[in-house]
Amino acid sequence: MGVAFKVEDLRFRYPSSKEDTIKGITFDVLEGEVFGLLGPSGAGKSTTQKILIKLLDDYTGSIEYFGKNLKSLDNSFYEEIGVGFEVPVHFSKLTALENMKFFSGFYRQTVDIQGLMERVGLWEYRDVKVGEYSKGMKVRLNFVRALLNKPRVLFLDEVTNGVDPKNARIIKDMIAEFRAKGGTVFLTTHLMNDVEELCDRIAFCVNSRLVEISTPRDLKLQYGKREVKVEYRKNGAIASAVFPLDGIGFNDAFQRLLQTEEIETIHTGESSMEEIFILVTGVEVK
Amino acid sequence: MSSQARLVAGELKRLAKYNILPVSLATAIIWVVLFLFLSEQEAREITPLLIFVDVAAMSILLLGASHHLEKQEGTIKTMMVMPVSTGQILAAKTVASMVLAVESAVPHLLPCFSFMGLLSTMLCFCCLLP
Repeated sequence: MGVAFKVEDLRFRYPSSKEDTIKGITFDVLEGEVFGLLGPSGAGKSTTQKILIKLLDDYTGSIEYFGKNLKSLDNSFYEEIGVGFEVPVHFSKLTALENMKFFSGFYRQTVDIQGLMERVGLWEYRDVKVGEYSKGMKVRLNFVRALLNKPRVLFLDEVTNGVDPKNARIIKDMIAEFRAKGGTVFLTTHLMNDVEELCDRIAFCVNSRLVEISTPRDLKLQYGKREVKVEYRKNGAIASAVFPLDGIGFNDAFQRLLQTEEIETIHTGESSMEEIFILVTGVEVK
Repeated sequence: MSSQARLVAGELKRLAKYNILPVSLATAIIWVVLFLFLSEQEAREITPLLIFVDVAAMSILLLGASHHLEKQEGTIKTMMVMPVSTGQILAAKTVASMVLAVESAVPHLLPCFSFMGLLSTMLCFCCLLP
């Protein structure tokens, strides 16, 4: 597996700012993985993404894209990446199909627009002006636009924000399929369900620095409690008991509870992604 | 179609869809109709002002409105992550602005020509076009 992006000691400061927005971050995005960048608002996530997609180039440190210096790449770089911005960006007075045809016209290779729009349930609304679309429809169209050029790397910002659960499922399935075919995804989101379902690795960006890079599974174990919580019904009411996870197979009290009570649920004590986000960033998930 | 031609075609299509071209044409026609109520002397005096206000200022105003809409919609961000250069995007916008100015200027030719003559009219417009 190659390295899609290799970022070393990245620093960036906006001209109007007195201090760095990115304070020396280092990370790799591996080819074929979904890499999630999480953090509270203003932590530097969007700036990092803007740098990686070459919208900002006045940075220090080094960024390699599949082994090549990002700064040395010309506009053909954009043939290989797809970008789904947080806020849907389309011409509102043009229909969805007109928008897609306009954008796809600039790429050497393109996908079947009809197939993609059908998949996200927008084909029947193809002749409706984008200005008349609901927020969820705009977000789905945004996702379609990001995939128009069969990208090698996909940048997605809050990709399911404002989308109903059914269509969010479709989008997440499409991302998983994209990854299964070898595509790389750089995901920025506040939606912890998306992170848990999609990301192979995640990085937390806090105060312009990366404070943690790991897999969701390892983080859940690292920040969780090694315990088992059992809920059972006793005299018509719900009762619960907590046992240490270590040596659970030899815990007599646990075994007796399983044998004598009407068990309702059994859960290990790993933390949820929301809890980890709060622990690592110190900011509540909204 | 080349990327540059596609960008220009896109700009012109949007000028039409966002009603910039029709509004510009309608404004020009209103000015031309007003000429019918002026004497030749008044028309000669008002022509430079008219050309400045309608052909130049209105074009700038309408283009500004078009770019403001683009900024609001964030579409310029999308254009910046396509395999086209900033220069190509700017060139397309320049061509579109020239088309807008020509579209506004042409309706003025007829009344101006009627009292200023061909050479003076052409000179006047050539000086003002972008």
